[in-house]
This record gives sequence, structure tokens and C-alpha cells, in this order.
Amino acid sequence: MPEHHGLRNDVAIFIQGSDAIESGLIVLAAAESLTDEIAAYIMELVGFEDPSSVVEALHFCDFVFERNSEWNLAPDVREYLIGRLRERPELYRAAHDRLLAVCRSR
Amino acid sequence: MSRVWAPCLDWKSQFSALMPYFQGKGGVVHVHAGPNAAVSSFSRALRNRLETDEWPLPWSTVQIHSDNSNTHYVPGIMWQIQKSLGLIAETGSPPVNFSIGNDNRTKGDVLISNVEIDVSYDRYVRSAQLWENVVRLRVSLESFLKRRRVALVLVGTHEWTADQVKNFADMLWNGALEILINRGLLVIDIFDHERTVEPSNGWPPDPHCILNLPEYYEGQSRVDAFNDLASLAMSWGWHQTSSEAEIFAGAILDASSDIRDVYAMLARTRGRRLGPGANA
Repeated sequence: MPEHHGLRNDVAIFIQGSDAIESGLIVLAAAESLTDEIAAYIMELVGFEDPSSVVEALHFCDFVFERNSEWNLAPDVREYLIGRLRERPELYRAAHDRLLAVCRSR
Repeated sequence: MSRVWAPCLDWKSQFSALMPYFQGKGGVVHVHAGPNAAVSSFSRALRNRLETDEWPLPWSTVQIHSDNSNTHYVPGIMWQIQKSLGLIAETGSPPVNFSIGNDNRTKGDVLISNVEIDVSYDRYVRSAQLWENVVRLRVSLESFLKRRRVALVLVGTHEWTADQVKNFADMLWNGALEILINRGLLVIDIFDHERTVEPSNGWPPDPHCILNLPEYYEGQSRVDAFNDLASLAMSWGWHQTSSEAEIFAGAILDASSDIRDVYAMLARTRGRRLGPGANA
């Protein structure tokens, strides 16, 4: 099991062995709540051409909470991931730029 | 949006206890969930089961979560219930109705500047309007329950502040929801029973049923989870024979019996098998 201090074990299991999935999860933390479409849009930033399989699999995980038309990462998980996202300022900015673009397009 | 399908591993004893309610009986169910319980997985499986299986009356569910800013306060909770159930938003007549400058005519230039309009409601008006909306919600929900069933799934109510509890109890519970329990409304309150809130004005109500969410698969639940995992592996075409699928299921449960870990292992496998996905 990889060492991720302060991270729930099920999150560590989900990202285990895949830097791409770990980066995908980190970039999702930029958003307070998500839809599948928005998740896929911001996961493109870390190189996913088709993140739909990972997004679908996320809905199996206990650290993802379904709302009524959206979903969110569990707050303790998101807090950890935001810390990781801040270690990558360019990605942090790019993710928020995309979220802003989504807001403006609505 | 339609409910996102997700696999259900076990939860059989919990769903068995809830069967009278699934069949249409209203009630209040307390689900005691410790800090490491698989709350999201249970809630997701519950809502999927209600909304996709065949029941005497079709189900609609609404999740009210302490982490969801849309459902923190009574007006937000009411809006979410109306939106999720497709109830007509009857917000009553606006408390202010005025118009400025209608039907003006001129053949010259008109300059209007520095027009400032400030409308403020006092607390009484706001409170009266909210109460009117609670009554309208009760009436529309009562009508809705004649043809469908509704489950309000409350998650994390132990994190509510004293003000949230009081407002929910005073307005929504006493004003609309409590009386609808006898009309078929199901309230499922999932919370950490060791961190309960101070009761206020009838909230939380005495439950008709109490469930405990386990953190681990043990005994019969482990057998049921094993069978569910093997069935999924077969249905997704991961394995050609049932014995191969059982080896897969056994390997997952041998790695961890923690329910949240098992869902994560299944998700990890699914995410990597589905397609290019992780092609970064």
C-alpha cells in the first residue's frame, strides 16, 4: 500500500499504482461539487482523453457522495487533495480557469 | 439527472429490515453509522434500490446532506425537495409588486440617472412567507404521496448546529413532514449516534426502526458480499467461469474486509478494465 499520510485507506486503494488516476483525483478537488461532464472536462487537464471509465468507477467509491443532481468528494478527502493540488500551481490555476469557464457558459 | 448506477455489495440484512417501508409504509428510520461506516455506499445502494426496483408505488428520493451547501438550511431543503420531486414551485405572491415609468411617451431625449431602489423585508414578513411556503410544500407533498412514495435521506445530521436543528424542527418537521409519515413519507436519518445533536421541538423523532451500519464484512455479510462480487465479475465478463470469479471475489475480501476498502478495490479494477481511461 502506498504511503499517503492523512488519506483514507479507500482513496489510497483507488489510486494505487496509477499516477494518472491520482492526478485525476487531485484535479477534481478544485470543485466543491461535480457532474460527470464537469469531472471529465477538468480531468482532461492531466492528460485523460477519455476519463469516463474512471469517472464511472468513482461512483462505486465510498468517498464520493451522490447529491441530487451532482456529486462531491468527501470533505476530508477533498481537503487532502486540495493540499496536493496546491503543490502544482499551474494545474491549480488551470482547473479553476476551467471551472470559471463552465460557470460563465451557464 | 437519473440515478447513477453503482454496484450493491450485501446490505441484505439492512434491506430486509427496511422491506415494509420499501413496500410503501411510511416511517422514521434511524441508521447509526460510526465514523468509518460506508455511509455513501449504503445511501447510494438504498436510493438505487428504491428508484430502480419494482414496488407497489414508484419511489423518488431526496438526499439532504450536511456537506451539501444546497441543503444546509430550511429554504434550501424545501427547494431541493421541490426540484427533485418535480413539484410545481408555488412560492406565493411576491411581497412587493411595483413598476416604474410604464407608458411614458416623449419626442425628446430623456435622461434618468441615480435611481436607487431598496426593498427590504422585516423578519416577520420573511418568516410569514417561509411559513406559507412550508404549508404549500406540505399540501403538494401530500398530493404527491397519493401516487408515489418519497424517501428523504438525511446524511450527517449529527453535524447540524443547534440553530439548524431548531429551524428544521420548528418549520419543516412540525410544519410539513411529521404529519406526512402517516401518508407514506419515509425519513431515513443516517448519523453518528455517538455524536448526536441536542433535541429540539420533536426532532429527532422516535424512530420506527433502528439499523446499525457495519464497518466490516463478517459472517453472513461476508458470504453475501463474496457472492455479489463474483456475480459482478461474471456479469462484466471479467471471468469466464464461476470458479475464476470466486477466486477474484475471495482475493478482494482476503485483502480487506473493510467495506469502504472493498468498494474501492472493485472501483479500481473497474476503472482500469473499462477502457483507455488511464492513458495519461
